[in-house]
Amino acid sequence: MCSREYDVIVAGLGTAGAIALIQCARLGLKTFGIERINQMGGTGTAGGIGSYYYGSKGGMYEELNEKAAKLQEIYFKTNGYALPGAKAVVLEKEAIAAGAEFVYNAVITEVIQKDHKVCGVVYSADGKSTCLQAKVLIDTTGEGEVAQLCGCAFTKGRVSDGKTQPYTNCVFIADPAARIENKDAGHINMQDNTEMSNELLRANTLPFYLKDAYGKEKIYLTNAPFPGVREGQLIEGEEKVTLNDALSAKQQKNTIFYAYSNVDKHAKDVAFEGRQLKDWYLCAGLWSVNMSVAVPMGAVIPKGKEGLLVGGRALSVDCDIAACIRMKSDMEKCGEAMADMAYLAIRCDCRLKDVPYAKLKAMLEKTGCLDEKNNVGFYNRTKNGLEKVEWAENEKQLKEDLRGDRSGFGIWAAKKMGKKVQNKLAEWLDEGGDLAQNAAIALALSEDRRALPLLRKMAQERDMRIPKTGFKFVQTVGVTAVYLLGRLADTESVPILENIVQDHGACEKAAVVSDEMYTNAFDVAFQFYSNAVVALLDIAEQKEERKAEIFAFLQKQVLENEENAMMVTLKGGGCAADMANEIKAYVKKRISA
Amino acid sequence: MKETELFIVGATFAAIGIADALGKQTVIAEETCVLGTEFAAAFNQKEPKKITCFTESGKKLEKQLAMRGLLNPNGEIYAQPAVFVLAKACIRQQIQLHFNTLVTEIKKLENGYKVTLFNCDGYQTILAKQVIDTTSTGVFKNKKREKWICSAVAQNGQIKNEITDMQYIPIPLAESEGWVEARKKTLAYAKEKNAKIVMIANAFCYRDRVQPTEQEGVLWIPSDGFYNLLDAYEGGAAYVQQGI
Repeated sequence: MCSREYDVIVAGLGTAGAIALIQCARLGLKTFGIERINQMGGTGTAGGIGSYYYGSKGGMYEELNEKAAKLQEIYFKTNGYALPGAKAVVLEKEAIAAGAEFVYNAVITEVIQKDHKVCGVVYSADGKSTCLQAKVLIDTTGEGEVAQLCGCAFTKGRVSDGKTQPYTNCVFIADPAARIENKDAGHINMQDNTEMSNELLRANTLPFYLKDAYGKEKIYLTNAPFPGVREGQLIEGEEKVTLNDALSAKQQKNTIFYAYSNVDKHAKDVAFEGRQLKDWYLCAGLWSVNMSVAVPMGAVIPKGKEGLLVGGRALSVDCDIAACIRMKSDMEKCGEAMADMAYLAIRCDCRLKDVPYAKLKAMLEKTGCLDEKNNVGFYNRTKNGLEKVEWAENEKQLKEDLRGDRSGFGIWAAKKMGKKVQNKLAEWLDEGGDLAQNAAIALALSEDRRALPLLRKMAQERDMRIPKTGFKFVQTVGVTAVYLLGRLADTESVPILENIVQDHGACEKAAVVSDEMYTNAFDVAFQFYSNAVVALLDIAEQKEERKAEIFAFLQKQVLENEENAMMVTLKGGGCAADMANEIKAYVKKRISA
Repeated sequence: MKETELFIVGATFAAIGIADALGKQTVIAEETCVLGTEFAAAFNQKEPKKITCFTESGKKLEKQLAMRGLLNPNGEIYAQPAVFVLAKACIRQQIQLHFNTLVTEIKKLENGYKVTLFNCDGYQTILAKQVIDTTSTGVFKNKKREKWICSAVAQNGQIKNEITDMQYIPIPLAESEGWVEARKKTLAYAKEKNAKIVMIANAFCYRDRVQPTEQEGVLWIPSDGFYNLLDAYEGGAAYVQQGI
């Protein structure tokens, strides 16, 4: 028998959940929050990541940020940065003021369901179990822990290998500025306790932390109480937002907020990403381009369940766009929108998916959580700040872009323009220089094989030119060519690709060290090697007659090669990770498939 | 059903010291996903105490701490980096550690214990020959102790940039007081003293000395019942080597 009944239970009082709790209570709902750690705000407070570079404006979180800024004066602050403790205090205070009840250091152990309707939870705290009933349950645990307990479907990671992007290990320090030191530490699987625990132990012994000697230059305060997971499992919702939706600026029905960021994936193993993301990252070099993405109501409603909303990091998106829809203010908006949905479902006595959108829209617009002004399209980060992206619409603009510093935008514009510019692109192949190379990349994206001779040359020469399109994570055109030779299933390039696999050491000698993509020559070698391996597999997959030969080559050169360490520096000056086993597992999987 | 020789509740300094001393197959369940919370996350700074280690386990940790500059001649210890050392000890001992794991039941059997756990894998049962609880207030939170909230503060807007000079302010809490009250008291203290809060601890601090006791067949050796984290590692090791 459950001891108490609530309108709404919010599970997980992190970035989205704390806002959901406060908003539900402010709307007059009898609300209860359950949090695993000892404070609210999640990654944005206890996790130490007090500010995110992007995310869109508007919503009730802004009022809370203002209150936190006022309280901030009581907190130690140096170098313009302060630890985000004030926000946690404000969230807690506002929740109490609004009449919300909540419990800390508590874990949900059971979900009560009747048919497909979620009716309550059992949580454990202070060594005791408590059962609570609710009309709506909001799961903002980050990993969809509640939804998992009640059997909802999830997707996780990339199609190729199921891998999510790296997580961050966060430690609070004072040097003497009080701040967080967050380093990409590797990969973590939050659904497997043994794997997760072993990984966290390992992360504690990384050389950033476990030092031979500790000097006085830095004071280590404490570990963040949870790992900085950027991407976990994603709920299968009534609707799903995809990278394709975002790149095509799709207008969603029933939008609840607009997210805004670049596709900020920290993964260095770009070769194993999906085709569209590789086109965006590898061919156009547009990693640093921001975009607004509409998130619809259906993205927080898990398929086949009633009375349950799942948001925050676990909302229903594909794994590529998950890297874009994760900024702090966007997750806070998600929390607010879910609270409004729960309110309307209860007041209108309807299913969550039948919440009257006109009423919801009015509520969201009132606080600015939903604001058409946030539907800004694409913005590029430059030395002069953010500049609106204008895509070329005619041949003249296209040529200007392709021959200059905006080549990536030209490549993407050509992909959008499709057939009508292919012949012109082919003409530009003869003009040589950067224009010809960029035209070849653009042509290849339209599956036009006239690009092949130049692409082969770029790959063979390991061309180290790095276009100036983006400020970060732009690859050499040699690596781009390698990818495209596989994409076009070019059998003539097999010897070139095999040579790159056999002699990737030649790439290590290259003096290309640019930004976080190429921290050192090993990173360059890894990009050539991993993309050549994937290109060979792509060719084998499409050209049956070459399959046996390519598989035999990869068997010998990759799978049976015991000495091939492939060291990669994780983003943000993170740890060095040996990717050799990952590549082997990938090759093995594709060969056996 | 999974079996283990030794099951320990809490990934504390005492826990790893005990596992080190006994050298048995060990499973540890930890409610948080951080090691050594009882000293590091709690900012648990008691009076400095020079610890003399007699056990091989204690000597090993003492050497590691001293070698890395984490232990000064007065016995003061730099707690957070000691957690990184503890992680290394865990890996070296091949301890099977489960973070984010609740112990929901410990049942005494004729020749051991049946322990029920809950974590992201769901409920599991482990058969253990021996169970030791090293948590501050007992696995079922039923042990009464003096509770404090500690905060790292910078007086006069300064952090003294020396490891043992970080100022940790302990504020007493009533047994019924939780995190909301703890934060309120800390903010009030900071306002009154014109101190700047660097960080409020993530775990409650228990500063009283506690002797190991046995209750319902489970040995309770709270790690923070010792003087400091080295004492806990050494003390846990010494206690189990002496008799059980």
